[in-house]
Amino acid sequence: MRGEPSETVLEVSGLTTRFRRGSRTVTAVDSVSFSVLRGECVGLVGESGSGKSTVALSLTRLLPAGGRVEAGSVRLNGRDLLALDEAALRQIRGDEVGTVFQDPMSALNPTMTIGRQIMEPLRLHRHASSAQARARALEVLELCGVPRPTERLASYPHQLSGGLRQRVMIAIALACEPRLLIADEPTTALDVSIQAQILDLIEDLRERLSMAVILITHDLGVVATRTDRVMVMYAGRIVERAPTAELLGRLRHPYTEALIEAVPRLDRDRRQPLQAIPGHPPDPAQLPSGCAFQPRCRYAQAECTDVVPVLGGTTAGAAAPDGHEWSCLHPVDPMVDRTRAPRVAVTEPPPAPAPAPATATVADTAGPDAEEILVFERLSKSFTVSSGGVLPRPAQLRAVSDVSFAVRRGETFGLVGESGSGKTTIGRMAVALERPSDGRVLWDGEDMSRLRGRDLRGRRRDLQLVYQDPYAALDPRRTIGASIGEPLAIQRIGSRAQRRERVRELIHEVGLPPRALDSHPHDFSGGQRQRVGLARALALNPRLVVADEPVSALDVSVQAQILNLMRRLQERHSLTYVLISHDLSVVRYLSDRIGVMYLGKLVEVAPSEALFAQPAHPYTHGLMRAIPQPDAVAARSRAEIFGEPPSAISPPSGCRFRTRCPLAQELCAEVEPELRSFGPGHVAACHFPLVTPATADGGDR
Amino acid sequence: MSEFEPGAERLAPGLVTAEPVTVTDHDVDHTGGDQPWLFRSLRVFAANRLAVVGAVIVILLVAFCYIGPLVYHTDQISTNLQDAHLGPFTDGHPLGTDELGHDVLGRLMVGGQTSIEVGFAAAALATVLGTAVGAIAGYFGGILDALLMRIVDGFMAIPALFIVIVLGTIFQPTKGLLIVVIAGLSWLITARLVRGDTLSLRTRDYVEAVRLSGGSGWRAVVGHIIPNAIGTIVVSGTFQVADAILLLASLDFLGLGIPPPAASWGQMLSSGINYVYDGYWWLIIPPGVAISLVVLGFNFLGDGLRDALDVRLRN
Amino acid sequence: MTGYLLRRVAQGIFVLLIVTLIVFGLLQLLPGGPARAVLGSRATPQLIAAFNQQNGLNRPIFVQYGVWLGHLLSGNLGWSYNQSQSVASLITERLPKTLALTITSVVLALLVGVIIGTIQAVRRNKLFDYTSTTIGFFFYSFPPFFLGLLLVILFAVDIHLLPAEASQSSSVWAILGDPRALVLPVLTLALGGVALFSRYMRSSVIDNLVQDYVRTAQSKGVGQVRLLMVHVLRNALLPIVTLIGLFLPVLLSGAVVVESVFNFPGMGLLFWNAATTRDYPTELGVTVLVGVLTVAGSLLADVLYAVLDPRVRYVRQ
Repeated sequence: MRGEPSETVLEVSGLTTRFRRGSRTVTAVDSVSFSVLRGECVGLVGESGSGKSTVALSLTRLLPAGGRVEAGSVRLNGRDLLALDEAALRQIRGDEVGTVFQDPMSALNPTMTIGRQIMEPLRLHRHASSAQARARALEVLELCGVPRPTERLASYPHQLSGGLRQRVMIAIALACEPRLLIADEPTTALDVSIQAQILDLIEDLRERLSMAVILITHDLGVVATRTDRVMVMYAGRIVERAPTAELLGRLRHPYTEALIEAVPRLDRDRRQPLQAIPGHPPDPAQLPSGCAFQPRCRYAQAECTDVVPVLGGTTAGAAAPDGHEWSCLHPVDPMVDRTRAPRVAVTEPPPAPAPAPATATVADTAGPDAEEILVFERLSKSFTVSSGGVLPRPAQLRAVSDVSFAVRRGETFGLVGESGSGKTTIGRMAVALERPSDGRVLWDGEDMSRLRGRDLRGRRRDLQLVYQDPYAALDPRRTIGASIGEPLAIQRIGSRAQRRERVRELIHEVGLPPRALDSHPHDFSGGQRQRVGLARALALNPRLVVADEPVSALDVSVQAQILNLMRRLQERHSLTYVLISHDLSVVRYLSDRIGVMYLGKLVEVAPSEALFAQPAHPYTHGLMRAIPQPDAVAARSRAEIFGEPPSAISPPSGCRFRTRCPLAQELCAEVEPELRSFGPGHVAACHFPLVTPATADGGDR
Repeated sequence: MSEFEPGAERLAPGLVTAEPVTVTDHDVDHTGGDQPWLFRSLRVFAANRLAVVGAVIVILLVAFCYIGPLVYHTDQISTNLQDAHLGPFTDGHPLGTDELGHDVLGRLMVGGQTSIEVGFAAAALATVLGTAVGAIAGYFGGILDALLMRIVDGFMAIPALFIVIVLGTIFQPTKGLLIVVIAGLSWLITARLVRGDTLSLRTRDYVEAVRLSGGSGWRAVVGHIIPNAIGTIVVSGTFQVADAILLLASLDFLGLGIPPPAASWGQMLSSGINYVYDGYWWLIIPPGVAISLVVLGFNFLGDGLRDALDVRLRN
Repeated sequence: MTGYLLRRVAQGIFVLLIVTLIVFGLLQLLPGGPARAVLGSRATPQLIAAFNQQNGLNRPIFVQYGVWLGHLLSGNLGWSYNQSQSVASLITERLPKTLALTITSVVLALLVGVIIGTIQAVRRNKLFDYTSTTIGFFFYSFPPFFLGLLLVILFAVDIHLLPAEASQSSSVWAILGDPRALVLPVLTLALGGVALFSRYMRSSVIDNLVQDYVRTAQSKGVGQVRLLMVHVLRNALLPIVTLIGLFLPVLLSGAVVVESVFNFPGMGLLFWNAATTRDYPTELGVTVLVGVLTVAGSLLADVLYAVLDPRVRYVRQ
């Protein structure tokens, strides 16, 4: 708390927003009240359908067609925004209230220069002349950390990377020095390393400009580390609100509890299954009677279906800023101190390493029956992209460069990296959807790239892939049964009746109702569709399943279900997984060993525990630090990885990570680092690793 | 992610059942509704007034042309100069007669038959051919695609009317030849559109999943791409009928279509021109209106279908 | 952008080659073959045989094509059967007039269509939208000759407001200088185009209005008018530019019909007269030229598109 009493910038009371479509009316936001003080950051967290984004849009009445704020008041420094007419409201938008939206690519006008887009609010609200506006635009671009701002003024959005675009969006929102900044999922579309930078930026700006910030997100970790107060929303209502530390340490609402427990944590024992929340977030058009959470709540009682609980809490009087309120008839026991939940310390050193050679081979020394079943040998893949130059001389995008590692039978190998790291390409090469430009993929000793025709088709039974986007992975015109059975039909396994039977088995195994057989994808939620994807992958009884971002498109509560399911399936069918994800915590939960990739290169491989306990590569360390954890005690760490990802067409010389590495030196630009051993099964490629490498004679150098 | 946007895909329609779920039942989902998409498409289609009007117009006109002559007999072959140029509303000739004594109303009915037959047949042929070429070019890509598309471009550079006229001056047109020629020039647009759809569908995960299971490109094209491009194909086909009828009418108008005494709307118009200044409007207006109506009907239909399928796709 | 344009030009040349192949194919179908096309309809069989021998028409077809293409490129399009002029000179006479007609029509159609379409999009599903859409459909569905005839009947016969025939003068400027005679032909051609452009503009504007960048602009306090004119318009016009290229064949076909209805002394009328008199060289000459015009027009549209869309103009850094 600051020393002096802060003024209340925003006071929302009883905000209710409804959408009308034809004859249906849906209440997206129901009696939401909160306030934001100057200089503080209030978080609004929830899953899909919770109404959090609608709240943001309702504040300045930017709702899409059919939406209307039907009740309540929104007081900005005393003035009720909802009572203003459109013209007056327009004066306030962009001037006193700035908004940052989620996807910077679509949120910027593609045919207008960055400069003009930033100058626009200045000319509208401050009646600035062209020169004045330009000067201020430069100022604000610098403030937001955009390098070479003068050049950028004349650039177009598509010429910038995602992180830069979001900085531009923030610059636009700040141009007129607003009192309130509304950030609606500002980092969801960005890579983890960039996410940390942007969140740092917002925090810095908040302090410098003493702005009030509303931060809307689905990510509990972000909320835990960046906000002063939090409101948890479910089905259009606030179900719990408190100062952040209080909420995380002594939460009361079952949904908050379930949400926190469903998030895979970097510091928890990965052997424990995740506490998944059954079902999925409700459709605002069809809310259950009584408490909206009651069908999924493990503490639900009979009366929960009858009564809609209201917000009430420790302090008398509603919406006192420091108060803790929740809406539940049977709240969770506050006496359980969650700050002391059992966990593995992040900074403990690993057990003393056995002597290992200084140079790397990835032949790991694990258990006796851990044979290497999938081997990547010096794999490279380049794509041709048209460079747009005068002569169509094609440029090469080096997606994967000289990557070697092996996956052992029965294990889960996690491949981690941000966008452009090449992890997806490797996954696709593993299942022979792409052919390597160089190097080999060996499955069971056989060179996959040499297989053709019938041999290849036969081999395909062993290797399957689960896709990321459950909405694009299934043919909308086919029934679920047909989609799952298609691999069987293609491989001509069994008669039609036998196939149908097998499909029925699979549907049951992934936890879907039997009537799914004849239903279509659009009748199912994202989580359910992902189950279908898993079922389809299992149809041919594969031995290896590559899962490419299997849970990234799902709500947190549903993620846990799918991860648990994947684990069960693995045990039951002795599957080997290659798990590809940008989310380290998800990868950690399922993986035995993890490989970290950056810009096409494998920079570190280690068993899960070792990686998280003692990452050797600065990139791995930076990634881990960039992931916000929903922990009351977690320190807020600043982003270590700075700058933007370089181009994969002309990657930096030497170590590719050097342009963003806080430890980079001259050597890094000249010589490309080789993989060195740091323990059993732990290798990393860095000239100045964070841990001393293991040597052949067993001592430290 | 904004959760509620009209048509947002992320809203799941079903709902978890209200009965208390036991702790061990964590990973089982009991939701999933069911509604045949055909019903829904028809409903959306019916909601689009334009489309319904179009369908009605088309059906009525087809009935007019085929059932009409069965009910209303006229002689369209032999000339009867005595009864030439009778005005409308005269006894026995509701729309008057033309310069050869033929009853205009009857001629309208019979003349329409050729237009409709040629239109439908040419459109059907063009659609099938265009779909095949478009899907193959789009899916398999490479040199084949480049070559096919340049050929399409080449044919499209010369408006169909010109080629058809040149051919018409060389060959004596028969119905079959007309169908083939018109189809041979109309498939281009369908090919372009289907190729466009194929290009975007090709990258979908579920199309790639066919390859993942060892399926061939053909299976992907026939089993997944074409069914999902059906919307484009049907809409394009509908517009093709309109275009074909228009093209045929233009040909007839210029005297290069099927020669008299076969009746055709375009030809009725062209002979009618000579009498514009005499004020014999019934020689011009009925065939012109007939052509316009049938084209209008198909345009409405196609537009309505496009809207209906668009909405469905978004949901 | 240069790369994009160069590639388009290369494609265009390739397409033109195909056009010549098509016309050459048509040429082969002529009764009497190319010999007759050059020598005229009264040539005797001996003359034809001698001609064939002389000009290597008994040589392989590829060689013939090459020779013919060579003629084409040097501007030799043959000799008209009926009018004692070379096809090339006939076309040179007539082309400017047709260009005047078609360009005026397309510009008019674009202007009116874009404006109507934008209004329809903004006042979606209101009265103006429904009525103008329906009217648009009607105009789009009328065959050009019928529309032309109707207009003639209406304005020239019943109400003696405008002449039924276009100006017959030989120079373009004289034609343009007699606007009353130009009104009906231009109107006939343009009305169908208005319907098309307004429909596409409507859906393009609607598509743009639901884009995220519109919401961002609104969050900055941008008002409706500025939103439309400054933000949406440029983005919405992009697909229309592409449409212009696709509209050209329709326009040129329409020109044939319209010129014949109004007796407009342009290339379309030339073509139609040639068709009715079986003047093959002229027919084919005009066909080739129409192909060239379409390709050139498409290319221009592509250039315009590249200029307007910065995503094409500037590559990602």
